[in-house]
Formats: sequence, C-alpha cells, structure tokens
Amino acid sequence: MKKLEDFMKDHREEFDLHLPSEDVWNKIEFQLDKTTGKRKTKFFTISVAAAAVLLLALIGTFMLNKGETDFRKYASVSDPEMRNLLETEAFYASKVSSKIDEIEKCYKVYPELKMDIETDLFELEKMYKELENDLEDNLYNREVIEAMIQNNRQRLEMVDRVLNQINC
Amino acid sequence: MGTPTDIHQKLIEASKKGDNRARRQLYELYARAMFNICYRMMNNREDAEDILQEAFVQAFAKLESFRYESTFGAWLKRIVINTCINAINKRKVDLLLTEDMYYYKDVMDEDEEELPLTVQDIQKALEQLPEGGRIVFSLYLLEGYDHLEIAEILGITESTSKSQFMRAKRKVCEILKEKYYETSY
Repeated sequence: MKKLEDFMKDHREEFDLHLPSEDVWNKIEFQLDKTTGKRKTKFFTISVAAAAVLLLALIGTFMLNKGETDFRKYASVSDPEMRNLLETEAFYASKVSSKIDEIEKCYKVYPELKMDIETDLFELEKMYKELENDLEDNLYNREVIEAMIQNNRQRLEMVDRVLNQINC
Repeated sequence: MGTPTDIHQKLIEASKKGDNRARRQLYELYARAMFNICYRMMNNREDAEDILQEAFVQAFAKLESFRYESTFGAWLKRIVINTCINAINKRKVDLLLTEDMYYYKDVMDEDEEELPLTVQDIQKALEQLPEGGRIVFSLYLLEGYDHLEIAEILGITESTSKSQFMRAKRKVCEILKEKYYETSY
C-alpha cells in the first residue's frame, strides 16, 4: 500500500497534466470588469456624458447666479417672465446642486466620471453663455427664456438619471 | 505573521488595487494547479473550467481579505475546493461519503508490490472511483491535506475520511491490478 502513495508523491507534478482553455481567463476578466463596474462605466459614460454636458452647464449657471449680479440686474425689471425664469432657475439650481454633491462622492468609485463631466460641463457652459447673450440682446426673448427653463428641467432629469445609474 | 511575506506579494497587492495585468499574472501562475484540482474534483473538463472561472472571480473579489496568514496558493486552493464542493452539492443530493457503500476485497501488499505504476494509469483509475472516495483520495495524496483538514473541508468525521481513503486506495489498486493482468495475458 505504501508503494502507491510514495509513487504518487514522487510524481506529484505529473498529475497536473490538464490545462484550462484560454477562454477561461477572458471570462474571468469580463466578470471582474462587470462586478467592479469598470465595463459598466465605459458604456454608461456615453449616456452620462450627455447628461453631464447639461449638468455642468447648470453648475455654470449656478456660479453665475452667485457672482454676476449684473447679469440679473434687469431681473428687477418687473418683467414677470424674467422673474419666472429667475425663480425657476433658483429652484432647479438648488435641487441640482445637492445632487451634484452626491455625484461627486462617486468620483472615487468612478474616476472616469469626473473627467467626463468636467469636459462636458465646459462645453455646456459655453452653450449656456450664448443663451444668456441672446437674452441680453433681447433676441426672441420669450423663446430664449423658455429654452432656458426647459434646459433647467432637463438638467435635473439628467442628474437624477446619472445618480440612478451610478448607484454608489 | 502580520507582515506580507508571500513570494508574489507585489502581484497580490497590485491585484488588490484592481490592476488587470497583475491579476492576469497571478492567474497564469496558479491556473494550472488549480485547474487540475477542479478536474479531479469534478471529474470532467467542462465543469472544471466553470469552477476555475468562478473560483478566480471570487478570489479576486475578496482578495482584500487575504492577509498573508497562509500562502496565497493555500488560500486560493481552499476557495477552489470550496467552490467545487458547493457545485457538487448543488448537482447531487449529497456527497457519497457513507461508510459502507462499497465492498472492496483486500489487496495483499505483496501483490501490490509487483504492480508497475504509471501516472496515467493511476489517473484513469481515479476517474473510475466513486465521487466521495475520489475527492478524499485526491485531497489527501495530491493536495496534501491531512484527514482532520479533509474532515473539516467536507463536513465529515475524521474517521470517515480515513476509511474513505483506505477504500479508495484499495479500489485504485484493484483497478490497476485488473488492468495489469488484462494486458499481460
């Protein structure tokens, strides 16, 4: 009985003669990406990017609201539409900014998110500035204001969507 | 121990941080040994590959909890074996580890002394063993666990592990002997 045991111990290495197929590693890698959210970020970045574009604009506006009082100086103008715009903006801005705070917490988990959002935000801010210029030039005033309000609404939806997706 | 001492410590630490290249290297280092454990436990390639995949995914996912209290290989091996056992338990009602399932006639030691042994023949014989015996036999002789450890891994008593091992070994000898006499006459 000893002979079999000794033989097996002496030839231990030879008992490992099978090799797994190449495919196994690929599956492992795929699953790991899935669970760590790496792959997930990749494809949801596209949708996040779109969301982020608008969302960053919001931050831009938010800051404008704080700093540029003179942009709002005609708000004191008793134009009800203009007041409406201001109120709407304030409403959305506060909602969105608290959500952005939450999203920022996720930067740790999804570092790519930060870059994407910031790049897109920059673009959005430019777009929003143009809208503001239009407003200042009094071009199609009503349409511009509506576009801005609509813009605010969309941003909030976007932030909500981003938050739902990252889920961290 | 407390301090990291594994020879693959760098790879392990990088893998903990999610470095894919490090993970791949760790996989390459251990895949063969772990796959063969799976193969012996599951007794077929397809299941063995599935288990290998599942075990490595699990290992990487909980790598944070690896604190160099054993070697990485030993830690990984336990994950692999546990994954195998879970899979076996899922597909079967229970491991065949009852005491008096098979009757093996005694193989005399002197008979066995004459048997020419080859790795291939032994491996084939192993594949013919009933599941419980095959697993105990492999864990004891090839994976280097003692009966107490096997008892703990499989949730059986130490004496069941011992008797299973003896039966399995006798059965292997029987199969080898049959084959030997078949081919020599």
